[in-house]
Amino acid sequence: MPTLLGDKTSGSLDPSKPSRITRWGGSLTKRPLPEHDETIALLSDEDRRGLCGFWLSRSSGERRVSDSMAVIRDALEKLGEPAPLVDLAERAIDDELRHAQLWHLGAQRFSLDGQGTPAYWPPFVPHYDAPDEVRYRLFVIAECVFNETTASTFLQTCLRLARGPLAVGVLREILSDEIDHGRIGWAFLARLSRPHRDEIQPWLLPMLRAHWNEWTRALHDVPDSYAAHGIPSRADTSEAIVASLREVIVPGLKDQGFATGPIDAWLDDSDR
Amino acid sequence: MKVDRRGLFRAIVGTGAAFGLALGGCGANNNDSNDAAAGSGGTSGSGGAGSGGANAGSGGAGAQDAKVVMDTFRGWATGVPCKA
Repeated sequence: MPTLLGDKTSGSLDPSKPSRITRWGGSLTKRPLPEHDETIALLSDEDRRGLCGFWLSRSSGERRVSDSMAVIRDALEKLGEPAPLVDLAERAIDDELRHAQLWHLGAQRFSLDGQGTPAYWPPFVPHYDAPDEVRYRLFVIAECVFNETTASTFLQTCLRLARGPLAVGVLREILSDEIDHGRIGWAFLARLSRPHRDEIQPWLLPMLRAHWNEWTRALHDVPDSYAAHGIPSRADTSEAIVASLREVIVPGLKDQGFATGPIDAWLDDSDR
Repeated sequence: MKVDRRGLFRAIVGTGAAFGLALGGCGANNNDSNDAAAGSGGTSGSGGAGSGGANAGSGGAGAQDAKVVMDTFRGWATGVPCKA
């Protein structure tokens, strides 16, 4: 049975090298964000402060994922994956920095004084007790197959519920990038040989449990008014997390020839 | 609230897998990369991303095919096709 030793920063992969590929010629967004969002002025001061806090925390999270993408880029390179796949990860490093900027700019629009600075969240690399090559594969699967796919499902829910022009603009930009990031993982899985798939198989359930815990730990009760501005309710967020597993990730793993019986049983267990 | 998860599956899993196979993948049940690229690409990309899968499969391995697959479906999230 594989062992996840908890989360710590890996000493063997460097998350600090900057990206050499950017999207949109270095612009922050493909389309200009709305200069004015009149729906923000209709919010109470308390709601504006609360939304500012959530948007700042999302900025912090995206900044940290940029570091994770540098680890993924390095892992793909060390595994000898082809340049088009490595380049997608390379560009994702910059994408995530753009996302951090987008959430930060948005937070300042919600802020009553136009200020607000996201906290720095240090890099976060899971440690798997396995040989290096297996660990590199697990990094890619954890980040791109699991995390980016769930992020896309979650952002899809956020976008579906959003009404504020600023939130809609930001969510559209970010979702289209995250879909690309998820594709890195599924492209990687599709390229794995049968023996490498067999190496990965026993890790899937423990990794998905860790993935589940990480996402559900971030569930919050929020006022109904937040959904229009990109922060859905606990119930809608929870639905998105479950849907990402049941309707996207697990069917995808089945398509890729992995056995998902234990995962299905775990998902059906209400005590998970 | 209705959200199109099936469309998201095709956009991420179908197109991503087709991209991997276009780069010379092994496929779910095959260790021969050429056979798998021809055979499994269409399956992975069936449905909305079907033509992407078929492209990747019938076109065989190659970065250009992969780029076509990705460009075709990159705009799915916003409904507006776009180029990187």
